[in-house]
Amino acid sequence: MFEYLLAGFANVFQPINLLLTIFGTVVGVMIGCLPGLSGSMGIILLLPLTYTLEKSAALVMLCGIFCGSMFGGSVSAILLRTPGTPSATATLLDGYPLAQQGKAGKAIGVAAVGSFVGGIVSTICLIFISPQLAKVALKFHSADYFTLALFGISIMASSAGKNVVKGLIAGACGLLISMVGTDPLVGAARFNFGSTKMMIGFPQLAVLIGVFAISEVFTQVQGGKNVVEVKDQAVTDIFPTFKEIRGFLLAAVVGALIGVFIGIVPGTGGAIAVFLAYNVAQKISRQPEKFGHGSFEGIAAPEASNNGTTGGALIPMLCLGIPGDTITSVMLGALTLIGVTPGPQLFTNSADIVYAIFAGMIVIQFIMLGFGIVFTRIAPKVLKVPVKYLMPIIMVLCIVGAFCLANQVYHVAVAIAFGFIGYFMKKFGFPGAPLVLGVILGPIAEKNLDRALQLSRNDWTIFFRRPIALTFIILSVAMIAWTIFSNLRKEKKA
Amino acid sequence: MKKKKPFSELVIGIACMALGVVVFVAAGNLQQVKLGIGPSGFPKFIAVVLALLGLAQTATALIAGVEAPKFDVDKRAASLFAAAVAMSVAYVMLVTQIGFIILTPLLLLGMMYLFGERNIVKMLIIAIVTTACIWLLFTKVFLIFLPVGRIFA
Repeated sequence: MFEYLLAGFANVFQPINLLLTIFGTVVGVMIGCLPGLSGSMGIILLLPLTYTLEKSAALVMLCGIFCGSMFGGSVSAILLRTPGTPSATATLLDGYPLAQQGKAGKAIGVAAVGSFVGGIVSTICLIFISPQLAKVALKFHSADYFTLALFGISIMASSAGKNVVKGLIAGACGLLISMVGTDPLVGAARFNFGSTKMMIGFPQLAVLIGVFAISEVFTQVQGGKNVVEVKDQAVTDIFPTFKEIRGFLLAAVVGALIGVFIGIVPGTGGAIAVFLAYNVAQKISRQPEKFGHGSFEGIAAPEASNNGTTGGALIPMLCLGIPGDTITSVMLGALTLIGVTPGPQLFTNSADIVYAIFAGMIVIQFIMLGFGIVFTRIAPKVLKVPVKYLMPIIMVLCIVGAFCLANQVYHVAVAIAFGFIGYFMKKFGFPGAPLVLGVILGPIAEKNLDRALQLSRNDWTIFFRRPIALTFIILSVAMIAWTIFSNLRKEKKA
Repeated sequence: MKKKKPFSELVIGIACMALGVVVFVAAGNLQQVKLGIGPSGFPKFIAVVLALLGLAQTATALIAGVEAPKFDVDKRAASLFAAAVAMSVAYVMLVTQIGFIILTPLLLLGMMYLFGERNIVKMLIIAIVTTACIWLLFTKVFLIFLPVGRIFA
């Protein structure tokens, strides 16, 4: 393993690859910092660049965006009381009070160190857990894969919004969308309305660009905030002292471990992990009364946990081809685009790529820490970039990104159509992530359902006789039931 | 007292059931196989799931009670959205004819206008510089050819 890891470092430290890693991380931090833009949009915007790059370099760059955006979200949470990404929501609870006390620099410094701790812990877990999980996944039967795909969609649906039914409807619609075009079993035309163009179906990445990025442009054109109000305050005294770090290190490590665990569970993500980490950190703190009034532990724990989810979310994506959260579902699409098939075989067939990602993840944490400290000084200026210029440029980049998928205007049309659909989904409270996951996992689910039934001679009990498949079914049902139950309880309380 | 649900919640539920039925019927015309699911099996399975989810959505809305349908639309917001969609659709329809280089600055200008920018000089500079940068980056660095249009072809 260590030889592979060393080879991974050698790959990442090649000048051009290192430059791309730095570029990805810097873009991630800046995108994460801007409210309304997320890591998934960052990856979408850089998709056209990935075609021209070597596979491992492209993937490490995308990981840089992923990790960078997790930290970046904290900057606006601290300075503006507006989290740049949903994963930074808990950071503002203590970050903003610190900013009000004139300690914005220190708060961002603590967030950077917390993110670094979270990233390193999650990468260590990624390095040690994923090869073992890949070994287990090699023994998966097609029935297990089918139920795993359904598990991924159902768990994302139940965690993505208040209304589980709407989440599940979005997931089912995603599966239906994936069926348009040519069926993957016998190659017959299906739901293409006689159009030859639609024989290729709705390309996953075009759908993704539409639902996650173009829909945001359509939403913001209706009069979001045009200029973000940033109070001009001196951002100084950034890096925490050794004594301060010792004070919040335990909270950061605990937060990181919570993040890794939450990240591994498909369909979850940083937004869930941060509050859990915040609560636990408060319980184990020697000064719980400081939480909510500018506690360093209250910043370090959620920041470590949202960066902890990065390595955690990569584990199911790399080993099983099931994304751990929204950003990894975008990354999964990008993987397919550059010709990498995630799954247990990736560890045997393309170990060089896997270990380059592992090494890259470690390097990214150091870049993020270093750039985070530098960025803190210029962050107030970056936050002033007006939406009225940013959004039109994003729109053009989305169009170009969709066009580059296959040099076809059809892909742009699909992206815009799904931008339109995504806008209405938001308006009526449908989460976008289950839809996209349905589109990605649809072909996997269909092929494995067919194979499982062929092997069992059309015996549907195969899904209940195999322990792994049964476990996924039980977990899916339990997760949905739990979410419905807890929503009902909340409604009753209200 | 329980809070009533918006009328749209009921419509969504009924629409899902209808979509489920339509997909199930349409899947019946696809090739059937004896072993495995064939091209029709998975759509039928998901259609049933969707119809059941639609039923659950409808039942939830009816149990909670639905408000009377409202048609109070923010006209300004709706027209901005409609204009943005129309510009995007026009772009898709015209880009192969007119080309990226001419159409993209126009789209940028239009979008910036919708986002509230009125300084024409700033708008022109941003539109032209952005288009030029993207064009050069993609065609010269990434070697990906963007639509040139019939005028330049």
